[in-house]
Amino acid sequence: MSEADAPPHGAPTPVLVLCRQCIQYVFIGTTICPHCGRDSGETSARYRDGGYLALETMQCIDRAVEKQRR
Amino acid sequence: MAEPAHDDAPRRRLSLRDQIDCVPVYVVWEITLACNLKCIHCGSRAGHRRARELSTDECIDVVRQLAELGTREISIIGGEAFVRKDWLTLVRAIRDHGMDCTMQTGGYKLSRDMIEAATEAGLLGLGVSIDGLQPLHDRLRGVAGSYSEALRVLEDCKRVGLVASVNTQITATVMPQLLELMDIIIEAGARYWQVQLTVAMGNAVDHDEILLQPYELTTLMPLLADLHGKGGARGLRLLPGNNIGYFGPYDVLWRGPDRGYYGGCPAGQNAIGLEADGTLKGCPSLATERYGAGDVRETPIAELWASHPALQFNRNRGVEDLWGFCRGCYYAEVCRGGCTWTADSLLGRRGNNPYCHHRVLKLAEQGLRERIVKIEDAPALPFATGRFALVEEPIPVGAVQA
Repeated sequence: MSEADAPPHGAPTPVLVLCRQCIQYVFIGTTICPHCGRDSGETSARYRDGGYLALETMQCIDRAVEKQRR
Repeated sequence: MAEPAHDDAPRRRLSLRDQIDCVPVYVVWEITLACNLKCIHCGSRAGHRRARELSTDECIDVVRQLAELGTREISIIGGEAFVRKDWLTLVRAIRDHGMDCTMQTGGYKLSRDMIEAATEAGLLGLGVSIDGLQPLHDRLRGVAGSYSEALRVLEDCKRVGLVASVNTQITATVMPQLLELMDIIIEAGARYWQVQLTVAMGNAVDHDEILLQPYELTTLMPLLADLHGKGGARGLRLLPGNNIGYFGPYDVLWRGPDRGYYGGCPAGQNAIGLEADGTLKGCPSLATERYGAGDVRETPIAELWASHPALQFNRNRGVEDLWGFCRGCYYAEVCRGGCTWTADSLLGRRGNNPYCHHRVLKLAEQGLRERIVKIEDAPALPFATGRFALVEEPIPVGAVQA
């Protein structure tokens, strides 16, 4: 198959998650949030009470399902 | 030229597979450039039909080809789409090929009978452009009475049972009117409200006084956040257009986390724009001169999609073509300079977008702001661009910083 015949291929968007402290996006795996300087994995009251934990769980499930499909 | 309605439709949401396989999930199709309005911000300078617009048979063949490529939604636009006599045939053809069909309109002279006929043909949603309260809207749209007609169309959609959304161009003077406008469109039956910044293209370059200055995002974004909350409580979902961004403190309200975050411009990777004469582009709004990828009459869409360079720029794109502030931004790898149309039209080159809330806030931390100044007019052609200079300056003493 020549390059011209190859199916189109694109890069997926890098994965971001919300900092559990300041609720701004950070790259997955980030420990110290570049926005607020705190531990982005430590759950703040704002994050918990805003329902973000449940949404984060759903996102994890979505990503796992997608990965499985590939 | 308008952005599509109800952007949160599940079928339009991109999966990992869509991104990697470059499925053209969403197509915006200008089916004619003829228009019954005279908008002073119109990027395509719509008015008269193009010299060689596709015939009905050619359009139906386009529909077939797009369905084969995996397209899930086609939004028909103009000019004014319903000015074309066979528009209902095209709506029906799109639905018959298993794709969703929506339409964007100025609403002027779109009768209730026509809305009923479109619904019967399978139209799933109608986006109506309303750019402010009556005096501002009628001035921007260039036709007296166009505001009341647009509201009448919303009311008719409610009666007919067709999902209606409103698209609003954010211009320099509309901000103080947005709260009142929201009340009016809720009352008229709108379910979605898509806002987007007016872009420096076509007629908007001729009337550059209507363009928002980048630093005004410090006022706009908190306002949109407030409207998002107030509208949501009353059943109106505020949706950001592709040039409302990026990664500022309010993005999580309208883009995530349940709906994902801004993942970069989808032009040419998961979106297609098609001009009425058969010119294919990665996005309907991009400058034809730089982004036109050939004529669908001469080359099958699949072939253009697979190999034409004008459609490739977002696929596997890194940060190499970013410049200015965007090049060094924390989000560069994800955002890639935001909306290509906005940046490219303004500065003649993609990859550096001053209309970014994150950027505006970062500059403000240093006491700086950016404004645009026109240095070159746009030719009298559809999707023509001029040239603007970007001026970085100290924030004037006393300037309001939200």
